[in-house]
Amino acid sequence: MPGVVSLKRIPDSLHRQCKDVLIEISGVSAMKTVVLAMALLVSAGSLCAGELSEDSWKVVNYWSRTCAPCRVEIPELNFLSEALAPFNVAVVGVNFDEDDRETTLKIAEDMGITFPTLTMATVETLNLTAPAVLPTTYILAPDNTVRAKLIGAQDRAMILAKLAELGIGK
Amino acid sequence: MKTIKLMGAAVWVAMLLGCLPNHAPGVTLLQPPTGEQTSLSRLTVGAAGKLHLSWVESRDKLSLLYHTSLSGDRWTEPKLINAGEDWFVNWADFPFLSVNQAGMTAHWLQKSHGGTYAYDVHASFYDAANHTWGESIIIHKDGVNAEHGFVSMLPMSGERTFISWLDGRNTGSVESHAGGHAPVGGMTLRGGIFDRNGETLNEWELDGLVCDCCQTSAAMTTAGPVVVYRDRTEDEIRDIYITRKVDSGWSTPMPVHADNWQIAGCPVNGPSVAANGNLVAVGWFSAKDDQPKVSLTLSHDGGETFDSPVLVAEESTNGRVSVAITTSGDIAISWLETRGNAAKLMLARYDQQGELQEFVTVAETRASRRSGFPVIVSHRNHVYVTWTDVTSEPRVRVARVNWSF
Repeated sequence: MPGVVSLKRIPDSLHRQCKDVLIEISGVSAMKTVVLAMALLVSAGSLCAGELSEDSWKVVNYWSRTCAPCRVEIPELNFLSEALAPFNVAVVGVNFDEDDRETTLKIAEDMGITFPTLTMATVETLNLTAPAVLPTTYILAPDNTVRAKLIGAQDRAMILAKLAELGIGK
Repeated sequence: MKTIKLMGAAVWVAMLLGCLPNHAPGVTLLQPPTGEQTSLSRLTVGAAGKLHLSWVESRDKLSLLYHTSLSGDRWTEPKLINAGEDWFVNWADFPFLSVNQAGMTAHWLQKSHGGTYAYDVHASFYDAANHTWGESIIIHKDGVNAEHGFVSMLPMSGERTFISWLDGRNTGSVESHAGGHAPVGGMTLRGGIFDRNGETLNEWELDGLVCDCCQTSAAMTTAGPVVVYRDRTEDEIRDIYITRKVDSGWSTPMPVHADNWQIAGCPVNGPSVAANGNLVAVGWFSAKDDQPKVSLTLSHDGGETFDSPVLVAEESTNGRVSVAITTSGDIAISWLETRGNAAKLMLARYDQQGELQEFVTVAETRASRRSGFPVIVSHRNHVYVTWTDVTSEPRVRVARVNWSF
C-alpha cells in the first residue's frame, strides 16, 4: 500500500505569524516516514520564516483583496498547496498590494488563503516582475527561473497541466 | 514607433551613465506640507483656478485625509477633511477632492459592517459658509454589502458635483459562495450629480459590466461630463471605453480604441481623461500578449470619435497613466518607466496632432505599488505632478514642470 500523506493547518492560535502545516503520515515505512516528515517540516518551516527552499519548484500566485477572480482561484491553490507538497512543489502567495505584513496576513486569513504568503523581502529574492494583470501565477524552477506565467484565474487542472508539461510530478 | 522605443531606452542609458539628475532641468520639487507616512495624493484644479492637493496620512490604524492649496508659492496650512480607523485604504483606489466655486467634495472608502470585501464610498461636502466639512454620506443608495470605489469627481455649476464610481451591488454576497467565492453578477459603473449638501439630484447606471479593479476617470467637455473606464465584455475583452452625458441621458459606451486585450483578470491600471472644450485626451495602459504599452488618443469632437492612438511607451512600463491638457492646448501624459524594481516617473508633451514635443524624467521612483498612482494637472502654464516617494518612509511629493508652452 503506498504511503498516504495528508497535511493540516496548524491552528492560528498555535502559529499566528504564518500559514503552516502539520503532517500526518500513515502506511509508510518507519524510516521513510521520518525522512519524509523531516523534509516536509523543513520545507514548511522555511516558508513560515518567509524563506523558500532552494531545491523546490514554486507556484507563486499574486493576489489582491480587491481582485474578484483572485478570490475565485484561492480554493484551487489551497488544494494544490497540500497536494503538491510531496512533490517538492511549494505553492506560495504574494500580496500584490504590498500592505504591511500584519495587514497582509489578516487579509490572507480573510480570503481563506491557507498557503504561505511571502514577505516582500523574499519576493525580491525571486527577481520576479510584478504582473500587469491579477491574478497571475508564476511557476519557478528551483533556481528561480520563470518557467511559466499563467495570467488570469486558474483552476487546479490548468496548473497541474502546466506542471506536467514542465515535467514536474511525474 | 522606433522613436518612442529609443526615447525609453535613451532615458535608461542616460540614467545608467549618470547623465540625468534625480530631477531634470525644468523640474522644480516643491515642498508641500506633507510629512512622513503620507501617500495617496491627488492634485486638482478648482473651478476658481486654484491648485489643491489632497493626501492620506497613516498613524497606526488611523487614516487621516488632508488637503491644502497653493497660494502664490506657498501652501496653505493643511486642513483635516476626515479620519477613521475603519477605512479601506488601497494604493490604487484612493480619495478624490473636487473643488467648485465655493464648496468642496471629498471622498474616502469605509469598510461596511458585515462584509469582508464590502466597503462604501463616503463623501463629505464642505460648507463654505461655516467653514466646516459636513457629516459624511454614502453616495450610493443600494445598501448592499459589496465593493464600491474607484471614484472620479468633477465640479459642476450651481455648486453641484458629478461623481462616478464602480458599484458592486450586482456582485452579490461573495462570501456566501463557500469555497468558490465567485461573484454572482458583474461590477457596474454608476454616476450621479450631487448638490452642495450631498443630496442626489440624478443617478445613472453608466455600464452594467466593467472591469472590477481599475480606476475611472472623468472630464468636462463643452457638451458635459464624459467618463472613461476599463470595460469588460462577456468574453473578457477589457478595453478602454467612454460614455458621454447627452440630452437623453448617457451615450452608449464605446471603445476609444480596440486593443482587444482579452484577460480573465484585473490590470489594476485604469485610464485617464482630460478635456478642454471639445478636445478630449485619453491615456491608458494595456498589455495584450503580455506586451505592456501606454497609449494616447485624442478626440476633437467631445469624445464622439477618436484618432488612431499614439504609442507613448512600451516594453518597460507598468502604466499608471495620468493625462492633462495644458492652457496652450497641448497634451501632457505621465507614466512609469520601469526596470526591475526601479522606476522613473516620466512626463511627455504632445500637440493636438499627436506629435511628441518633448519629454522629461520628473523623478526616480519605485515600481512598487507603494509609490502609488502619480497624478498630473495643468495649472497656469505649468504641469504639476504628485506621487509617493518610497525611498524611505512614504512621503507625498509635488513637482512643477516648467515647460515653455
